[in-house]
Amino acid sequence: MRSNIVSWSRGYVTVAVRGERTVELINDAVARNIGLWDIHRSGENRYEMKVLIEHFFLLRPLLKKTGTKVHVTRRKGLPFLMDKLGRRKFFAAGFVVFVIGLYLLSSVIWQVKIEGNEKISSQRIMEAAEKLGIRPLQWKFRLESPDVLTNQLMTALPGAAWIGFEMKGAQARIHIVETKLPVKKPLMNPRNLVAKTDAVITKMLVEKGRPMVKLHSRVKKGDILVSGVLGDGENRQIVVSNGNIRGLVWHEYDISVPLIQQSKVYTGESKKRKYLVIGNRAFMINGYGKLKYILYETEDDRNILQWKDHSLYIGWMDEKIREVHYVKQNLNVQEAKGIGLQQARAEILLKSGLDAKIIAEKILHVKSESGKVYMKVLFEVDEEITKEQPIIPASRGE
Amino acid sequence: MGRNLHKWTEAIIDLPQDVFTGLPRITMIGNVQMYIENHRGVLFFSSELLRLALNKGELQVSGSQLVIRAIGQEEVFLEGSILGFKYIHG
Repeated sequence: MRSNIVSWSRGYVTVAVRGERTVELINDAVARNIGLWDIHRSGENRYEMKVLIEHFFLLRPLLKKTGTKVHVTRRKGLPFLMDKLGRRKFFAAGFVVFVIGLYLLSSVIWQVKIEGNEKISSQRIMEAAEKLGIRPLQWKFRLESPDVLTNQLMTALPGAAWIGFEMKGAQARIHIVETKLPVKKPLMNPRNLVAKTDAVITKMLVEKGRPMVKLHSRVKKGDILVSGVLGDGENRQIVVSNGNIRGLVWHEYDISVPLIQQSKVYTGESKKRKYLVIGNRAFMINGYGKLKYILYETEDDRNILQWKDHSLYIGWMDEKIREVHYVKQNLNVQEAKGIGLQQARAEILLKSGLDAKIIAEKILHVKSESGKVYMKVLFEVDEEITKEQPIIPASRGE
Repeated sequence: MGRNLHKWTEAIIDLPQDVFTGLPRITMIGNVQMYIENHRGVLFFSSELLRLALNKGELQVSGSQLVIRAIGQEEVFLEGSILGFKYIHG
């Protein structure tokens, strides 16, 4: 027998045997099938050898017979280890608890991750999943099989075209592919289209409804352009009229432009200050010193630390102080006229929509007086002139 | 008569001597390991000398740092640095 894994698992001891008749002991032991190994002489009438625990106790009668004495020097093997563990109860219990804990913790869902959703809110998916038991701190083995879960999720979430569910370790993943729905048109009341302003029609494109005016005709503000009432008497039907009608509109503008223009210019001089922000207070960190600028602008860049949605009330602020000075510029009448017209054009586009086109502009009157240029300008603008007018259904009695 | 029969059968079926006669079979690997079968017990053992009883006579193995790695009823497995062995007829 050698010191192999089998003898280790059964447990063996190294013993020192003393006595003159040790050789006799060895022969007797062998005769009784007691396995001895690694026998060597360690001194006068002293031997060391290894023996299995179960055989060690069989040696006792032989020891008596041969008058030898035995003394265990080393214990090895699983039984001794178990014995040691038995004495270190808390250690053993801790080890067992650790293994069980590791197993339990790894069989729990720790995180539910939702991917691929755009229109369906994660909250809704989370709620649907929770009803099926997919939630953090849920036992994995209590979940149904993924195909059943995906089926049930599909019925709970009609907006999804496909749902995938998989467990990745302690993470439950729900992958969603949404159905693509056509864009819904906004609901509209039955209506007429009427003129927003006085105009001459330049373009008519009626999609629905009865056109009431003709191209190049002159309309007044409030005139019905497209009627939402179709038919007569029995066959009367009220619809949502729709169309694109453009017309020439006159805009008259009174413009005044000062001849002295003042503009702000940066001198290029600047200074930086850093602040530590706590709550509503800011403490200057650097950039001390008096400002040398007479006129200046400051620009703040405030960064407050956040954790998720909560402000931590601590942050820093960079302040940039730039020196400015004002420059006066004298304009002649021609330049002032140009500036005035430019402003007026921008205003028209703002009022009439970006697709408005200025067809003609005519300066009716220019006057320079007390440092300002006054002028009256007429603009001919091609623009959309329709306005909605809801049709209030007539009472039944009518 | 019995002995003659033994010899006769051995001659007929051509088996190694040790199987029938109980003579020791000694296997050595260099001078470091020695395997002795068909012994009849240990007579003396120290780091320098091992004396084994045989059916007839004894076997003396000399060397240094001798260790009995394993011992059974029939065989002994010896390790160490072996110098030589002597066969003594009883």
